[in-house]
Amino acid sequence: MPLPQKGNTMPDTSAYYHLAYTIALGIYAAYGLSLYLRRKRVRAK
Amino acid sequence: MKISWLPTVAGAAVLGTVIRAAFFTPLEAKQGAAQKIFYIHVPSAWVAFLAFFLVAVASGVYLWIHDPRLDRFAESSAEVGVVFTTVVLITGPLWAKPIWGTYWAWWDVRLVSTLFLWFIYVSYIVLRGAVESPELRARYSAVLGILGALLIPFIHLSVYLFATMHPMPIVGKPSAPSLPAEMLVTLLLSLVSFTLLYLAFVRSRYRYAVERDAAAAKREHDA
Repeated sequence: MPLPQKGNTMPDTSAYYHLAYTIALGIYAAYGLSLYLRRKRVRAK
Repeated sequence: MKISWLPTVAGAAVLGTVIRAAFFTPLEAKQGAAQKIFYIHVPSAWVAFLAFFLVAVASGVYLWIHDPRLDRFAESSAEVGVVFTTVVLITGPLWAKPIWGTYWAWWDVRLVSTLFLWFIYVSYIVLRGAVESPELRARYSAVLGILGALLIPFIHLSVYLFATMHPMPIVGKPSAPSLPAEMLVTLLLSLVSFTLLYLAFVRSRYRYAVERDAAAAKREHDA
């Protein structure tokens, strides 16, 4: 088994990845919900 | 409450894609986790271009045969395309920051032309809200819908035509995809699942437009 090496060359970029997924899925979910609510409102009229 | 099959399948497919991208797709060697933004950025861009292309097709046919169903479809596809382009314009900078060292570059033609595309179709939505006559609204917005889509081939080719930080296509190119197999499968899954999401959104938005127009016609009839 190789010994642990100092100086990891891969930067930790996971914060950007988590933020991008959260925002993107949040936008899609919010749009889907807005479509549902708009249709519900127009049917109620 | 009645459950509609298309949104359910689309939602499950997107969730499956996210799970595969997060837990079953390897990290890229140089970019680390940020590279996984690829699996939502690229399919969102694909769907945005598809949506605006279909707006142009429906608008062109509308100008020819004046069928209001085509206008309703164009209206629906444009709105959904704006949502997907918004995601592209947010996820792109979040990917760019750790890799390029900056969120945005105003000299980069790919980035700025995509922003212009977003502005054109936001204008399309604003225009539709500003014109009261249904016939004029449909005609004006059809012209704008067609002109806006002319930007799509320019955006796709911009990485070949201009100096840019944005990478060249690694899948949508004449030669074979430059991507390891596990990453390619995740990308293809994401393209399918986001296309299903587009279909679910457009179908729901189209039905809303039909119900809204029927309610407006009834109000006019009753008045």
